[in-house]
Amino acid sequence: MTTVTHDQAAGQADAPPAPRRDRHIRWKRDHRLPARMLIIFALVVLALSAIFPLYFMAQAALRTQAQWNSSELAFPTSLSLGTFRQVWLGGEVGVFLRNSFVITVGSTALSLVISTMAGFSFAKTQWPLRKVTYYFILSWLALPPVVLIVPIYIEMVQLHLINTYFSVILLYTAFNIPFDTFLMTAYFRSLPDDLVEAARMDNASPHQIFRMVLVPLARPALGTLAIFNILYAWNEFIFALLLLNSNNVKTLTVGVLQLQGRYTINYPVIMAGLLVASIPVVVAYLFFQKFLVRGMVAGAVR
Amino acid sequence: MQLVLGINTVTAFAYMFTYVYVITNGGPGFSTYSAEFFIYDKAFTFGQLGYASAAGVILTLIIAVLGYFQIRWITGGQQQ
Repeated sequence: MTTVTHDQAAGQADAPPAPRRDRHIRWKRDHRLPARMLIIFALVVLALSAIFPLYFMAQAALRTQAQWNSSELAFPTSLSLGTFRQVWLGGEVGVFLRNSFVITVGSTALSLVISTMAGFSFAKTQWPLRKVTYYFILSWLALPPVVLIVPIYIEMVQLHLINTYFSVILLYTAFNIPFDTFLMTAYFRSLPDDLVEAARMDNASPHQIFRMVLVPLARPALGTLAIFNILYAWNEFIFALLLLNSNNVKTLTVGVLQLQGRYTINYPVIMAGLLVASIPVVVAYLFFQKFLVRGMVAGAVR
Repeated sequence: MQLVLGINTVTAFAYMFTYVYVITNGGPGFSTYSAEFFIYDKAFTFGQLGYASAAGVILTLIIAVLGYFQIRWITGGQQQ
């Protein structure tokens, strides 16, 4: 089966993809100049349309309300950081940041641990009903969480988990597990069985095989999953809105919405709040990107 | 690639709620009133939890059918 991770992580291990990639490159080279210019132009427009909102957000955050009223789009003529001060003192952005951080780290760690173990058991071990369980977990991929909103709310109320970190940490973990398990299973499947065999020859228990052989090799996949899970938990909105009502536990995404109410027309302040909310994930993304090393397994078995 | 497309279909479904809630709140009129927003609105604006649950079940059934074909499409119909 061909998956993205498969291609990204273990591309070198497979023979078939290579010739296709060559053909692809040749096809590109054969293009006439006008066609290539057209493609490049389209890509530049796409890239600009992705970057423009970021530029808009950043430059608006550096304005004062008066400057915003005079012009919304031109390059800012003077720099003012007053909006950030206003966000920090006016709202409880520091608290929101902490909450977002705790929830993101907690749910990411929990779902990575669980799905790595699940992926190992689905890919490298045999047990009854394995396939059925795998497809059962996979089927949750197709369910948008919003349809569960009523039962989850009632459940959380009755478990007295409303307004606690645990409510959303457990929830995000549950929502992330199907995709994570799917990816880890695909990744572990791409690792050669010989590795497991060799470790078993050396008298390693299944736990040791998992911990000392497979998990270190799974680092690229874990990095990818960490990025996905961090992005999801940080940006999640509906359930944070629903389950976290008091300011002590609110996440940043919901907290920024609160700025909208308090400073009804003060766009620079909202933009500053959004900027504060978006910077940590960008940093996290850049940090975990270096784990996306290709083909770490390529030389493992000879 | 197929996997990415398949997953994106579902995440687009799930993420639409945020934009609707923050930007338009279902309006103007009902022009951005998505199925998810309908469920949320019925449950937590009008307090009709049972009605919203029923809507959730119907949406789940629709998506289950779509999801069945989606998973078959992702795995290419092959046993693994």
